[in-house]
Amino acid sequence: MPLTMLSVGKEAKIDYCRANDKTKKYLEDLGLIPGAIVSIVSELGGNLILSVKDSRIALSKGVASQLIVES
Amino acid sequence: MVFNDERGIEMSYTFALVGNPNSGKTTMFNEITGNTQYVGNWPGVTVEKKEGKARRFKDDISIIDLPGIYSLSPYTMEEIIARDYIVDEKPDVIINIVDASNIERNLYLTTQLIELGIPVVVALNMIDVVNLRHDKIDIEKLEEGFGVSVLVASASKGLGVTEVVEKALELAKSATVKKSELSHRIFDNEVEDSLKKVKELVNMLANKSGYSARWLALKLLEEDIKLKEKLDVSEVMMSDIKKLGQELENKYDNDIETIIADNRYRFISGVIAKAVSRKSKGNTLTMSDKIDKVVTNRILAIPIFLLVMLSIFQVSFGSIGSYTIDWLDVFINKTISGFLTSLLEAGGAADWLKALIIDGILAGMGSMLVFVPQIMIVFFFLSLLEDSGYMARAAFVMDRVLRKLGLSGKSFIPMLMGFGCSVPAVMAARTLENEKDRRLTIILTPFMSCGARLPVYALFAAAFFAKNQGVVIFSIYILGILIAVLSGIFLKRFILKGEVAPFVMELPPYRIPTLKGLSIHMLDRGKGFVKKAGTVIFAASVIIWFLQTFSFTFQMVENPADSIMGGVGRLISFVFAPLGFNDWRASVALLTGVVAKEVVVSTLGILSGVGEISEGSAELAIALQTYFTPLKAYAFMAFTLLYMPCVAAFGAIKREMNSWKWTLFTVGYQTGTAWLVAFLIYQVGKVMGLG
Repeated sequence: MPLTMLSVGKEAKIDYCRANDKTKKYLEDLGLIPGAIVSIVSELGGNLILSVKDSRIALSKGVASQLIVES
Repeated sequence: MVFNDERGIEMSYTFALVGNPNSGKTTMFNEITGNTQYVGNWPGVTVEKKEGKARRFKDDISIIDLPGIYSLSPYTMEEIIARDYIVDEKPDVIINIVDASNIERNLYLTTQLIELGIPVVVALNMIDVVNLRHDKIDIEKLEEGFGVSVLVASASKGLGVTEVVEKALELAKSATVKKSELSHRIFDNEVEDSLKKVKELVNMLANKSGYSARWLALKLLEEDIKLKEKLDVSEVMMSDIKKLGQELENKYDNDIETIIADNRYRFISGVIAKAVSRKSKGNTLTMSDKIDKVVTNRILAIPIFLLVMLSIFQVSFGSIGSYTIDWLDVFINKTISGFLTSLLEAGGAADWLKALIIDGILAGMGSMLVFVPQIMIVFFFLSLLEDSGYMARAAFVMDRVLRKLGLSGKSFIPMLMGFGCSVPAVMAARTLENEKDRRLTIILTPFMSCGARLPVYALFAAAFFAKNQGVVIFSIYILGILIAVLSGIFLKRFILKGEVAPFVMELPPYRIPTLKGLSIHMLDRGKGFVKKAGTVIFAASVIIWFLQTFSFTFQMVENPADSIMGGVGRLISFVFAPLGFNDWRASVALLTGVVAKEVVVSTLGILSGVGEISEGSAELAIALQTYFTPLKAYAFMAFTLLYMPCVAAFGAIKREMNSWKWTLFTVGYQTGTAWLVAFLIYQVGKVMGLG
């Protein structure tokens, strides 16, 4: 399911990313690669603050919907 | 590396500081060099590389602070700057700053740095945060895993910094670069095999370019377009490499970049599993998370944001801000002016000298110096927002709003900084990945009213809207924001068309700002304005005084209207006539305001002959009332807000746009908008009977 469907506080594993190459590469540099465990810290109108490893990444709704996770 | 053969001991070295954004590089830089570079708490503080000399060492060590980067792939401008520096300038040692409290992600860059063939020292920074969490990091295991020296440090507390530089020096001095053994352990055998094949293909190219063959092979396997263009790699070679890449992609059923990133992260996980023992479980909410649950809450986020912004305005432009102005006004225009006048009279100075000092220099500089404390208050709050980490959250909160205007949340940081000074604000737009987004942000940022424009509003508000000064000044700021919003929609629709880049930004943990950090920034900025008053404004004041005292035939004139300045002013005033301020003094003030916006005030001060009478700006206000009405004054303020920024900001725009076409478009658009808005204010106001 897309990351946008994950509820706040629940953990999930990134399965794959449907974003364009450039965005995808940037997400990978930030640690958002397939297999990474993520959870949502906060949600604001679809935009998310994501917890991955020890960092917090803010994502807009569009890019969050391109990250497919399995819980 | 430079050797001094005769003495054989003095040598000079270059060490580069490389690390993720917010890993504490700039703090480390300041600690090593004794500099006081400003450190913010948002990604992208260091937009350009900075250089300094290491203290406390006999050898001549240059320290280069590079922009924070997440990887060596050239996807943002900062990454390009940092990578180009490292691979082309080849520093003697890379000091890799790793945020120990976010070790896994930070080591991702480390896995790339150790491939470059340049000695690397890892400074495990913010170790105090790890200790506080009661986590344990086994340094030896980390060194073993990565094949590099690792030293713990806490740059903010000044701990371990000297040791890091000593270690780097040791590495630089040992002639043999210890080739790290580990590189081939990062990747799976399949990837290694392909890499070997690519390496054979690019060996010649590597020798020619001086890059490490392995690194070059890896980058070309990743289809690094920037590098391919730079080295002019032939299409034949590229297609051979691509074939090898495709084989890998088929094997893994994934694309090559993901395969390599995944390999790196798995390698890191392996080392971390041995080297780091965590007491804290991964899923617990940190203090920052708890604050974020409130600050970015769907109901509270916007009200909190507005409250923060309004309080900043209230304090800066309300009672406290104006108190400092009144106080300094009396001090400069009564105490100092009076003192200087009596001194000059006692010394029997010539009339022209007295006029130059009192009417020219003091009137010019004094009328802007009174605003320095208020400008410093604005900067105090800006650094408070940056240092605490709220700035990055505000960008997140504003993303949805800005996206509707065709901008990204990342545009918010440059725009907010624009309220301080347009120059760093325009440069801060570099964090935007997408070129169109960046151009648009650069065009709109100067509409945010910078500190230097404040004296103009303050002067006019006091002279014409004495009862509602605060409201009038506030409305000018709002006007700037409104024009930026409308311009954003307009430009995105017709000129800078295209999809806005998705908002992806790391949020730094909240930190309690230190008084030291805040005052460094505030005093630094204050000093900047005083220095500007002492140099640019001083020179401008002398020139303006000269031009308004002498006629074209270099005769001293009785009435400034007959002076050179008067002539020029009358020549251009027709442009401003439809806007209501067709007086030659207003025209000249706007012209000189391009030097620096405060000069608008000093010019009006000089041209109105204030200074002699030690009543200061109150006197100037009375003088202005002879050729402005409240409506004209408001149109003038709006024009000052919107028209092309000062030469310093113009220079920054030129550098950042890297194109004359776009630079001229930017200032043309701004000045055109200024004219149109002032025109509408004046004409509509006149129809409504306000004029």
